[in-house]
Amino acid sequence: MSKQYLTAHTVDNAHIANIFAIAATKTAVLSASGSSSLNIHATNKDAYPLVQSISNAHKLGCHHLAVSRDGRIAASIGFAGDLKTWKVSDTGSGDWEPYVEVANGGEKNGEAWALALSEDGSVLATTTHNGRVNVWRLRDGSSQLAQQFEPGSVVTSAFGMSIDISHDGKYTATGHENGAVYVYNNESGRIVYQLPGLAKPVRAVAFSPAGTKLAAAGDSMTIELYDLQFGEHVAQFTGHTAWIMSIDWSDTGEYLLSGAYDGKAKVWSIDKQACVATHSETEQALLSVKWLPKTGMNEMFCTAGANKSLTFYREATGTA
Amino acid sequence: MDPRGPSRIAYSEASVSAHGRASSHTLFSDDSQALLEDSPNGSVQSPNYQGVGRQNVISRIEDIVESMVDALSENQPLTLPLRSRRSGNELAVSFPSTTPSGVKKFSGFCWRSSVRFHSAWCLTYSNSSISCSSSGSLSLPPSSRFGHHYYQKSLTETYCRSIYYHNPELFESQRYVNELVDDIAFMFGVGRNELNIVAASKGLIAGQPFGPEHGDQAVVVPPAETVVDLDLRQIEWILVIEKEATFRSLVSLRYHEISVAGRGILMTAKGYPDLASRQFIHRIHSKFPQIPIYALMDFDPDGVSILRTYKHGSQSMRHEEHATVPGLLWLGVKSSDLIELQMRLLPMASSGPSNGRESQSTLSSNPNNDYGSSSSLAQLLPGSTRHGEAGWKLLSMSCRDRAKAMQLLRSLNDQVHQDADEMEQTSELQLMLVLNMKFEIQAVDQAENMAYWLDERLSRISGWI
Repeated sequence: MSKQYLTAHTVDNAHIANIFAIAATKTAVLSASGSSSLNIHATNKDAYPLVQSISNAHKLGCHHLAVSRDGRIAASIGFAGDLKTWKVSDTGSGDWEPYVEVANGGEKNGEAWALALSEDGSVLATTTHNGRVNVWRLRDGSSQLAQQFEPGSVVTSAFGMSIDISHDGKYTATGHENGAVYVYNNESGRIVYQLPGLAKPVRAVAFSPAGTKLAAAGDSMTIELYDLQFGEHVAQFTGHTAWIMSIDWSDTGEYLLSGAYDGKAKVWSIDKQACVATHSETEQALLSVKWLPKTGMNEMFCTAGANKSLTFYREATGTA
Repeated sequence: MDPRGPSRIAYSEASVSAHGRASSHTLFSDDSQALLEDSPNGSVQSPNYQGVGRQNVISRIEDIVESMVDALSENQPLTLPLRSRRSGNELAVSFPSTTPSGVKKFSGFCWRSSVRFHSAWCLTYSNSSISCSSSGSLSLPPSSRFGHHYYQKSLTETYCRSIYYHNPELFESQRYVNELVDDIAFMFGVGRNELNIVAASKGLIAGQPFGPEHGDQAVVVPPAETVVDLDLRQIEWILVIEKEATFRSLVSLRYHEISVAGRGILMTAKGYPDLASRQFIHRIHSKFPQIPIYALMDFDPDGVSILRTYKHGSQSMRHEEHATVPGLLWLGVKSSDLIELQMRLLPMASSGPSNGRESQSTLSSNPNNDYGSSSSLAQLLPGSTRHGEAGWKLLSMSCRDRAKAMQLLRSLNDQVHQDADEMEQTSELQLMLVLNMKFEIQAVDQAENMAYWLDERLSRISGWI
């Protein structure tokens, strides 16, 4: 059985450059691009208007952006290696403002690459070019380097291309350029699993909402699903015909959303282990895809990439 | 610090002293006016338009020589004004340095430069031990024995290479001579040409009216001055190619004659372009602005950097004029071309494990997959399996590549106003970093497929499809 999604709205030219990352809260989509500003579009208003633009956030542009599940804290990394954190203003305006400074953990500029935030934004993790992982604890006014997973005999020094933190903040997963996937325990600093890799760059890793599964995808054009109870490979989703750049779990953990370099977005049912919807509004690369946190009856998701636009989709079945 | 430095100073000092003292009484008995009167007008080697600048340089060199001779006769340290090619700042460098403050000046870059400069001084100043026709020899009046010889020699151009061979022991490497010449040119704010020194072009060119010569379709890029006499009315396009191998394979296919876009000219400067090749292509573009000039570069930071060197020149050679082609059009390879390639990567999805950091996706095709695009880049791929050798390679970016990309992004970001081309370059560099991928053209075997691809691109651009 397939699912129907309709294009709800497209914000054309949401940025003047490629959109490399988007992140969704209950009320807004934050987006980062090759230009220096971060943009915030409201998702709870008609026509998804631009409600804030943080200019000069990253001088050389921004490639990674994440927001905590509670929608309060965000973090971004720019092409100059500049790592910044943001929070929703306490004034009630809903605007985003700079949060704590994160010293780059002894890393040289440009080494921090992918990043992830825990559910409440108290844990921030980043990968580096040489395969390391840095984990920070963020509190108001300060940041503290909590863990540093060094490359060693087990961990290769391959570029850390993707990262995710489990919703409870206990685990960090990383996907590497050589196809390796690792799961770390943030408390002990130990590697929990070294998962059978994809043999090709892993451009996205994502914990399921319950933290029981991990999905990984990338240049193999497949999505690999792992069970985290025993670290077993449990499923492979095939169907994309280009590098998979981004994946995201739906709130309920029933569906996976994926976006590929050929512009195609797919929705996968975990139960059926099959693709249930394919969309290709653009032939330009999709670089980031995200479900919007469920607020109404309909599931919604947003895609962005080389066409510089934000495209919003709404589930066709189950009218509001 | 350069361990070779001190010996060079000694050498320079010796020759400067010896010839400086010996000939000081006759040094300025002649003047540059007489020199210019003797020059054969309109000679190919020293075009007229450079005369004024050259005379200015001669008089400035003479001023320096004069002050040096004065300093020597008064037993004072030599002082040279020196401009850094990196920063453009002017420094006064003393030699030998006797005071503590002078010693300081010799530190770091300044020190290295001063060593260089004294070597250069040898080059330009001493007229017997190193016989060369750089700017300095122009300024030197004839002693009874060498005079006529130098007049003649100074009016024809000298190749950097021949300067080096005048005293290989002193200069040690060709590269060193090149840098000296550029330092001197930069110091006087003129181009190499005005010092009467040229480097032989390393570039190659093919297509009428160039070549064939000795049966070889490709010939060395001729001097820029010769462009004046060219007739390019038949030429519809010019393609500047980064890699010599790509150039060679297109030449062997005679793509410049058989392209659907009409007759064209193929050119390569084998990587980063040398000054002579850039001056040549600049002159072509000025004289024939109606002929589009396209660039075929690798999808990697060096490809962008080479493109920018053709378009805007290089930082260390900014004193050279008439060496840029701002209108150069970037034909490829770009990030959008990668989508076609991935279609052909599909059969690779279940291949064995990659080899770590150096992981490459060797492109191959599945004969069962027919994507129906007859003239696409993907068409290049069948050849790679047929010949058992990958012609086009996807590679991961090295640390050097990433650093280079970031350096380029910074310099692009420093532009006050980015034009559309610079925005595109920024965007492509960012994508290289995000994808962590570069794409190298190594098509030696797939010239025919490459020709299809070029046909399609060139005709799309010129609006014929």
